[in-house]
Amino acid sequence: MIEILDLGVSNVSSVVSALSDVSKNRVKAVSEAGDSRKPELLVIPGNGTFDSGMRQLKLRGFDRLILEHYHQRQKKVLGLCLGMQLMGNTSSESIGTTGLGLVSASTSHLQELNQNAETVPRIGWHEVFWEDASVENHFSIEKPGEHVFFAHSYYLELFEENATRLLTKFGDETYLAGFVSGDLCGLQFHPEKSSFSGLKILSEIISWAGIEK
Amino acid sequence: MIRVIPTVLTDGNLHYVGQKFESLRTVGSVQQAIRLQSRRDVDELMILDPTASREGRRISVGLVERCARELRIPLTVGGGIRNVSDVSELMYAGADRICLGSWIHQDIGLLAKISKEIGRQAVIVALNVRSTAYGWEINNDGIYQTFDLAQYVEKLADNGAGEFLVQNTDRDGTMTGIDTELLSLVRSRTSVSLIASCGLSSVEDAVSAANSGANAVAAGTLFQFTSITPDLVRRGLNEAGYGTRK
Repeated sequence: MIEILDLGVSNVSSVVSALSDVSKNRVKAVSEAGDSRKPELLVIPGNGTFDSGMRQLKLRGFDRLILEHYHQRQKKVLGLCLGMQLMGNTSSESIGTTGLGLVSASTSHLQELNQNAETVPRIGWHEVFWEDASVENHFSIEKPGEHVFFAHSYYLELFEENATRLLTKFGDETYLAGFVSGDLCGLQFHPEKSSFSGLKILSEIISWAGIEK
Repeated sequence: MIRVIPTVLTDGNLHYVGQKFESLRTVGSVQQAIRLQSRRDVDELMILDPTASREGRRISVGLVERCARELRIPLTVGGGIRNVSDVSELMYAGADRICLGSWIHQDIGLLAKISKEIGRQAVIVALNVRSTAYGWEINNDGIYQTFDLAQYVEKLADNGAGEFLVQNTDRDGTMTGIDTELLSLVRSRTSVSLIASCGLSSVEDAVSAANSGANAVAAGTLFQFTSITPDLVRRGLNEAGYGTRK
């Protein structure tokens, strides 16, 4: 079973539809912790701000649910866009708000990375590639680089040593487009909105999660 | 990286094309229009209900739900959105980004509220303007009034606009070319992302729009009724040195 946390503002239906496209497993949205039925994979989607995201997670008991799912049941978590950022500790978007702390990470504004690269919010299709193409990278990205859809102003800086990192170019810089670290996977872009490329990546993540396709 | 976006105008059931923001002509069912564009695997789809405010309704949530179920690309919707709960309902139904118009122009505080709630990246503000002897005029539900375009653009950007849909209303439905002067003017006042719309007539036109600072081009009439496809436009942009998807 795959459960998607409904934060009330997010576009949950697209995530449900896309995951249903690539997995025969039950895919369900849950609106509060009590509705969860011990899934194999928990998905934190995201639209909105760091602050509104954490507020909704707490309101619905999802913060406790996620920690229990990850730490106690040792099951996998997938964070999408804001969902990935909420997995970290802090964000300059909402000073004073603490994230879930599943990974050591902080979120900053793209303009701090490269002021002149592109317009921010960054809205559009961009290529992603593994930082180290030579290692076993959990899921494959086709060459030439897949284009996937980004819509965000903030990016995550990950401080975990053993994570594998997916990157995207931003002017002369690069930033994190995704990562895999133990039982955690995060994607900055929207795979559910990235047409065939996105569905392929989701399909590979299903395999990574050890879930039947 | 320039996005190419088909626009579909609808009241929820029927598909319309507009003419200079003055009239709408029915051309078929909205489901068919949407199906055509989504089969083309375009970069994004924009569905707008241009007379929603005037006629006391909002872009159809049912339509948004049905589209979102099938689309695997970003969906922008707009028409009659007047408060945060409208926005939440539409996002929940499957919209990724919302386009705001008349209600924002009446209450800029609403823009800030919505942007804070769903994030700037999901908020587009429509600038429906025309140029007259007295300067720029903005169209608000069919009524034009003169205004300071430059100042207003800055104010909207400060209040949370994540992107502008820049439309010269006189070119709507005419395929007489994008207003690159308008685009350049808006670009000179803000670093916010811009979608050039109204009047797109050719691949060269799309390149001119990109040269004038557009980050995306949108078209209704062109992609529905001519043999120029979003893919052709993407290729033309590539040849002119711009990055596009694929």
